[in-house]
Amino acid sequence: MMATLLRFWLSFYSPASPTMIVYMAQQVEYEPRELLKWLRRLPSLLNVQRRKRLDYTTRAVLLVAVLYTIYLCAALLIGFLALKSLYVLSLSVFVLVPFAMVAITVAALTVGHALNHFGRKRLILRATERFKNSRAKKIAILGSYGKTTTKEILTTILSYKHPVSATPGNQNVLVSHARWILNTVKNSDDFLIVEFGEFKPGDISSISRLVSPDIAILTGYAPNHLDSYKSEKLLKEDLKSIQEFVKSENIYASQFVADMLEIESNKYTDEEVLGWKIDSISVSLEGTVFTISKGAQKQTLQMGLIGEHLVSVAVLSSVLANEIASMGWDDIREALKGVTPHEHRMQPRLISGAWVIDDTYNGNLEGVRAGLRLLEVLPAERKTYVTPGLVEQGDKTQSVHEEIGQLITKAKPDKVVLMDNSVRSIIEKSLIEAGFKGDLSVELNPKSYYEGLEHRLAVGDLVLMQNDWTDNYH
Amino acid sequence: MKKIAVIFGSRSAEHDISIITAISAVIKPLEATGNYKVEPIYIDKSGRWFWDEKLKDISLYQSGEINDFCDKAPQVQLQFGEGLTLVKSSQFAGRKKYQKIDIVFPATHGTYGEDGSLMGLLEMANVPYVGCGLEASAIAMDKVTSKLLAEAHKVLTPTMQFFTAREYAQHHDTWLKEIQKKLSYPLFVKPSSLGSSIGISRVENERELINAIEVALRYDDKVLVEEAVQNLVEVTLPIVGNADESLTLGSVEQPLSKEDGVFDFDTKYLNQGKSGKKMGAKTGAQGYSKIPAVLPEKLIASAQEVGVTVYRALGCEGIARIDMLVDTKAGIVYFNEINPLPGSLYRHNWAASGISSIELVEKLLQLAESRWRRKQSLTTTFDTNFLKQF
Repeated sequence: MMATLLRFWLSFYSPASPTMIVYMAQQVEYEPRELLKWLRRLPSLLNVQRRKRLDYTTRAVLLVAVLYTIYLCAALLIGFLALKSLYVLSLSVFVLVPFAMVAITVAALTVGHALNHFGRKRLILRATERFKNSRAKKIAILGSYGKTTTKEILTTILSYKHPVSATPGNQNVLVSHARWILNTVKNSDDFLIVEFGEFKPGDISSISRLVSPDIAILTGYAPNHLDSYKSEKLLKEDLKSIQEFVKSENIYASQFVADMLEIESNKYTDEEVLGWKIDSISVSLEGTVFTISKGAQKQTLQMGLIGEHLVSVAVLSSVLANEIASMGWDDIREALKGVTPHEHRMQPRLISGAWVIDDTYNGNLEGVRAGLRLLEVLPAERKTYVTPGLVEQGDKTQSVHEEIGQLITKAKPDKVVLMDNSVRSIIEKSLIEAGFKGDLSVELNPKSYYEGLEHRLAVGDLVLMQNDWTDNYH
Repeated sequence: MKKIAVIFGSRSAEHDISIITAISAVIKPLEATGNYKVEPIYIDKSGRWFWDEKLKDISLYQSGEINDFCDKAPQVQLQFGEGLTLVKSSQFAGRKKYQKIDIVFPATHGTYGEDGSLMGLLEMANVPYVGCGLEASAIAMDKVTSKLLAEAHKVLTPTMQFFTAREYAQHHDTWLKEIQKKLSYPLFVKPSSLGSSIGISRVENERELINAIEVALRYDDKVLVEEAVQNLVEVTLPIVGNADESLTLGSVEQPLSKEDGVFDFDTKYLNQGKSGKKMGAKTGAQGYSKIPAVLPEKLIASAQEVGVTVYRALGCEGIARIDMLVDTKAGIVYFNEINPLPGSLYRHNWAASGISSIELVEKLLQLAESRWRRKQSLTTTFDTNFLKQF
């Protein structure tokens, strides 16, 4: 413990430390609280830039310059005091250098934050007006997981017949939405589809006030971001607050989410969505085919996305397109064919003749379950499962990763590759206890593992890669 | 961590191919394992040897900056004795940098590399090295010798005649008559030395034959004339293994011939995976081949048998690729030539056979060490009193 602390302390004296601190600040979007949290978890400043490098923006250059100035002044002061035989004082300054660097960085970020606050407030006010005045139907997509996929499916289907705008990629915070509505969205849209991110108490209310949603879809619930929510109760309350903005008849939630949040809504399950029964699901690397029926009506649909767990969301999107956007089933069927895997989300790729399912943007247990179910059923000569585990699981970290170990064992891959981090030993132990019989290896450097993947593959291999930790997790 | 020296480039027509083999098929997979320290040794076109981390970067060669680099960088020296040690001036205060090498991975093609000369040097250094030894490499470079050796092991080869430049100069009329008496058109005329398809011609009559022999003699002192195989399907088979153990076979692959029927394999197999999407069990690199070859099972089995017999007959170890010609109507497989260091190690074929690049290079390192250990157990010196009696 003392050795780790000493190593961490001494790493601040490295000439590269100012750049590393600014890199960390940049990675957490200059949030002082997030920077401090990361610093608390960090074993050493020396190995921070594992995935990316500092982007020398004006703000970054200024911060680096400030920190190097402190670094240089401290060095001169230490030398000066030592020359004057003020050794105790000189040593005190030496010891305080890391404190000074962190304190000044946090102070600079806090001041920057305060200065930005008024600008952000004006931006949000303008954006709120714009959302309010928009004639488009506004659909909010929220939940702990599955938001981006649901948004993409719904956008693809509705776009087949209507002008639609959706928040780009996985952007889901207040400021990015404000910029999006002001800078990108056209007045002619029939639908605006907005992904709601929840990271801290009050996030859902804030975005709801901005967007004024007409319809809300709650995709899934998992105890994520408990580091900032502190308790599941607060997380649930935040998600549930959507009721204050959307009428319950316009809220669509999976049965599981509705039960967990105790929320009034239209419920759907993996077997039935708004009266439509789902059956005959067939999954392959080319996509998923399924049948839905309601009374005498029967539709066979297919999409490029892979995974049984995505069918209910696809059906919900299809039924909504039919009911709220008056789209015919022939159009919906064609539109759904155009739904293809999104970047890094259950995205099958052929590398060196082998199939790799890239699910590196998946960061929740439900996704892990779905992925491992798929790995179990798909045929292959040799199956490999790669994961660093999940982040931000709060006090559920232990149980979540124990379950992951059990799920992996059940899926029976020939090889499991874990990344060396704080949850590796939990998964490893769980695998051993569950009786995992395959090959187990631990990678010290995830980046080089991913970069060298093509050299590890041959025809007949199937690799599922789930989640990827950014540099601020260890 | 084992230190692996990868030697590439060299004074060869296949200098550039060697760079691709070294970087994409050897260095990258070795480094991806995280288990080896790879030391790149580049031999430039004029024969100078260099050792530097920068030599692992393909853009150095693509941009042409390599010439500038070679003019400025210190050359590497090789130190023998208890294996191989690389020595280079650090360019500071006369200091030198030393690096002892555990295994050498030659990635050179053609002359001064694949022809046995580099292997001779490594034998002298008594360091484990990957691939065929001196004798097998030298024999494989000579089409005539390798075919004669294959025939001695009851492997069929196309009917052939061969002669040296001196023999042809003295009795060219006799040779022309002899060729036309024993062989039927169309014929192939080839310089005997393997290494590239330069100098190979397909001829249909005597006038073309005379011209083709003249062309072939510009590239080699020995010329081979052989009958073209009818109902031809070319196939090739990469093999891995040592003399004292069972061999691992790749897939019998069917390169798609050019219209002129010239056997130009290598250029088709570079940059495997460049086209990406088409890779897999059904097509080979860049879609130039079919893996496995579209042939009856019996002919596939014959090709595997011919491949293994030739590999063993020539004393190949480590890796080699055997090219064969199949008369599909007659159901006969002929040995054509052998390549002791296939371009990019034929990794597309191994991948299609279920063996990844990492598994391939690690297997080759293991074979190199196993052969070296076997050789250490042989007696090469003994004490005599000859000197005292002299």
